[in-house]
Amino acid sequence: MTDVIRTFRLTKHYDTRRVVDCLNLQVQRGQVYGFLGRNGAGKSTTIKMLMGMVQPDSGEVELLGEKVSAMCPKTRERIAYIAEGHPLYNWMTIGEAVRFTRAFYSNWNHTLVEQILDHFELSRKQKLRRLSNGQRAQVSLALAVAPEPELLILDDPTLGLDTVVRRDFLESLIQIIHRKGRTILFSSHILGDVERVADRIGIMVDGVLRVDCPTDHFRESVKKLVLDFPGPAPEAVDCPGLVNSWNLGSQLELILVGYDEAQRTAVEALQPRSIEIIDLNLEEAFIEYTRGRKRSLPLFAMEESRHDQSIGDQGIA
Amino acid sequence: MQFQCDTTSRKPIYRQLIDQVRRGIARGQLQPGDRLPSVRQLSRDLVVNPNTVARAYTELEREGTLLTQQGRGVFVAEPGNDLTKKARRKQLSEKLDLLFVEAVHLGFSAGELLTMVQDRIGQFAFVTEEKDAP
Amino acid sequence: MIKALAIKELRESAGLMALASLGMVWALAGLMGVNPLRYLSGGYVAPDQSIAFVNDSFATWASVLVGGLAVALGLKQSAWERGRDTYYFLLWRPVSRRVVFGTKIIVGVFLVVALLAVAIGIYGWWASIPGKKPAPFEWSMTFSAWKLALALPLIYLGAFLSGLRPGRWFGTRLIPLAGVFVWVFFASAVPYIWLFIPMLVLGYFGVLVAISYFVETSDF
Repeated sequence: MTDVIRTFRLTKHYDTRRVVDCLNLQVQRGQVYGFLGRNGAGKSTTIKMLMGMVQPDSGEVELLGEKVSAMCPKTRERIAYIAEGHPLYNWMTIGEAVRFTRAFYSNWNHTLVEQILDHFELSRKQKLRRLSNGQRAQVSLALAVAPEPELLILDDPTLGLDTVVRRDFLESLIQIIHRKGRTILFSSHILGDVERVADRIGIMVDGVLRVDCPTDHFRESVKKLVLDFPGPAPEAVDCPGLVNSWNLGSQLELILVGYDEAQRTAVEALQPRSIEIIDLNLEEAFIEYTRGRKRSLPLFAMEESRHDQSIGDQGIA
Repeated sequence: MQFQCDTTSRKPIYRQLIDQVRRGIARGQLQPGDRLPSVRQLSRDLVVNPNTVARAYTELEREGTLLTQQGRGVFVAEPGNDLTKKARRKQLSEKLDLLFVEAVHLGFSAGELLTMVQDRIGQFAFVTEEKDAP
Repeated sequence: MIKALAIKELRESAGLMALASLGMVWALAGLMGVNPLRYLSGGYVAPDQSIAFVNDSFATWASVLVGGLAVALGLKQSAWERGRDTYYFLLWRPVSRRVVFGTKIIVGVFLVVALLAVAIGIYGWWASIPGKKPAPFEWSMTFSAWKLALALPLIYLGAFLSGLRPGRWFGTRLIPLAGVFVWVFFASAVPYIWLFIPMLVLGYFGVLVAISYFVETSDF
């Protein structure tokens, strides 16, 4: 399969802080990639570097096989970008924004724009300034999809939208995905949305892409173990894939990535009275994973294989 | 039948869909030959990635619950008897044991459990008794 | 698409342009002796002894108003979009950055020069009407005003560069603008036109090179 997005050792510093650290990101054609991370983890800077809005200190970005730093305008027609907050010219009316944007493209699906505007009951005469966040997001999405791009890169498109409007936006996104061969990368803070929409997720922690695997795969590999001890619980356990642990008197709670035989042996060696293994939903798994001891987080980057549930722990960073 | 998906659940979405189809069949809401919504349709209705729906359907097809007819859609299959009665009996006893463990822990008597089983049995679509049943 | 870009820039500059034009109308009215404030003061109105463009206050007014427009427009056209994140929208359109910023600058320079040219034209036409001024009018008298029209776009570009250049502190961001100001001031003080022109050309060249450098390399 071809990589539609590809970065090579992408690095960016702000002052002395390394915001993005040697990022190698690959997104294949047709994938819907959920890009996650806490605030300040480097998601936004990464997306801006993907779009050439921020210059990397070192490294390269390729979109649709072409270097972003020297991309010809023709290629940019095939890629849509929605920045955080859906920036548009507020003094324009919806009609003016459509006319302005249309002027740049050789391919423009007029019917699609009309459909979206009609569906959300947006009049062309309305000023963008007067729109709600949700309406603005819909206009911005309509402008982005009208040139029928192959690749869409959206920076937290549902930020600041209420539940109902967010659902509308996701519905539109699902419609876009129905078009075969379309690739989407989007960042989000709402894990439920990501689970619905994304095939694959990447999680950045402190500028490093720590997780890059199919969505279900991640949530299925992060497990919470509750160990019950007859006496006081041991302080800590040393086993590969440990993200975090809490000592609660006679109980020890562990967050593990990729629970397997080796880990089971290590845990059983502590001789607990009982072991309870708790599955987590995506949000819980994300929270437990990202608040772990950052420098020692186990990385996992899995190759695409839908029914392969084994976890390859690629070692400690 | 109305499908649902819940992202706060600890069950992955494709699993939720599989369970719903199986429950629907068990309860008789879905009959063999019934047509299920297409991947596209269900993806749109539930607002989930079409690949997730496709994954659930594929898995159900693999276990023989669903049948895809090229160009016509996805249908509920005739109940298959791939496994021998003995193997199926073994599978079910394992599940039954789980139920018993739970009932004992929750402090129910055997009589109470039997009554509950009798009460609920009507809600499900069981096959008619086979000849070789003991 | 250049047309769309140009229209957008014109629309976004309309407010500042209207303000500057209003100021210019007021200043010209004063120069033509219809300043209402003079009557408000109620006192004695001195007879107009000045010669148009030569020893009246046209140059001062034009420098302040058109210079002010140049600075405001330059900053607005470059920095305003950064503050509203619309660069992310604009710069992803399938057109080169050179074209986007080139269009901005051409529109800006056009507006600055147009305001000054229209003012010179109107005032010159009025001064050429016999009896309006004590001295007869010759278009060659507008020479110093046209010199201003050559210099002010450089001020505009300096402001544009200041708004474009990333910088943490506002003071350091204004360095290019301040530098251009000093340069233009010196160039204007030089009495020889053969030196004035090359100095301006050098200024334009330097600022344009800097702008195209920052257009390609700065973080938006």
